[in-house]
Amino acid sequence: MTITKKELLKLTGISYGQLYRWKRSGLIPEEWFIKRSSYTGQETVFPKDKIIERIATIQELKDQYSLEVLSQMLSTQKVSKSMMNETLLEKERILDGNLVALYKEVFEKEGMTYQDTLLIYAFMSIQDDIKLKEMKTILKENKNAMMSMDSFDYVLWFLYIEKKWYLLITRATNDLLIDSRIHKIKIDLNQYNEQFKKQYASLF
Amino acid sequence: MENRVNLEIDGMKKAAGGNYGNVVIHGSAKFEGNCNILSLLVHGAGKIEGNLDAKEVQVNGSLKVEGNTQIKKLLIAGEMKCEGDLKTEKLHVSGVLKSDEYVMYADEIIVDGVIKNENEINADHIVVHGKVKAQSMVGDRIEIATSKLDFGLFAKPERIHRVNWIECTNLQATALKCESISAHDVTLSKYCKVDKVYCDGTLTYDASCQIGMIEGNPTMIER
Repeated sequence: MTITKKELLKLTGISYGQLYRWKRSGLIPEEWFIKRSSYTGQETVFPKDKIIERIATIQELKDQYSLEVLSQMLSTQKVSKSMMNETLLEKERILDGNLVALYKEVFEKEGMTYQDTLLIYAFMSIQDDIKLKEMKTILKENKNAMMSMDSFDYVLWFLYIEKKWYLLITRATNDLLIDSRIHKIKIDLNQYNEQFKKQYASLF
Repeated sequence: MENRVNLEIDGMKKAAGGNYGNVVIHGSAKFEGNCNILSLLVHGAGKIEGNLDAKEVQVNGSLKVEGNTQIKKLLIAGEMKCEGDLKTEKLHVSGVLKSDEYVMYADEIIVDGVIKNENEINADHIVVHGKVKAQSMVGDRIEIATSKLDFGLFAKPERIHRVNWIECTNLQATALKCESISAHDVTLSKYCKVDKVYCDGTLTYDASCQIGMIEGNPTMIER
């Protein structure tokens, strides 16, 4: 679902100047500015949920952090491959130690990037449903697919079929139309990304 | 401490990309690869076959960058061509800047010369006293003026600036030809021709302007 630029400005109360400043700073990804033709020529639309959530996050944090720091925090391109301070993650008890060990073993990692951290953070929310042993199998079977994710614009769908969990990865823009009898858990990486950065802003 | 080489080029030189300190080109120089330079001063001709990352660049002669350009402060009195995205904090053009199909981002852009761009010029504050031809200009405050409005007794008024699409908070324009303007407050001075204006604040216009469609229910002031 999309929203036009004029609707967005009206809804959020921001100005053109702010919108384009945030685009320039990388706070709003360029790919969210989708140009399409209209009866008067051309108009720009945005993915509605994502842009509204992002603007709310920026408005909430902009008085606490400079644009540069915010950009480091929110820009997925800048931060996804940057290394995290593991000692701090451990000290603050942000991640589950068992999941970290499992993840590192499967992906043969020594250090942790932000992307790794975010995935583990997201998996922690489904630990009650999917046990460590099952998670290990899922990660092993989907290692290549997960390693090819180049941004947070993905949704991980955990599907419970015949007493086993399976993983399906879709682009965030795609809906999953599936038999309603299948039990599924949705992990939208963009949402977890916003949530993590808001909760642990001091790490960046 | 990082080791950076200073260069002063009088004749012709071909150099590898890399980290440099202060580079002055009087003659002709070509850098093969990405360059990270503290300060670059071009009096002659320079070409960078890669990305350019610099703190300060002044172009009095000519400079061509074949990759992306990221510069804190860029002054162009000569001619510069960017064949990649250009990102700066302060950009002052008194010569000519061309960046055909790539974006031009800055905090502040002042144009006393000529700027040509077929993509997006995005800055908080854009002031044009020279001439601009662009696909789109977006930002907070955009002022497009001209010092050449004395056309003579029988001369036809000329529309000096051409920007297809402008979106900003506050726009002041003179001698502009534009397809679409979206802004909170718009002031159109002499000889503007705009196909469509969306304005939800105040639209001030001169009697010599031609405006097609007006949307957004602005307060209209003719002067």
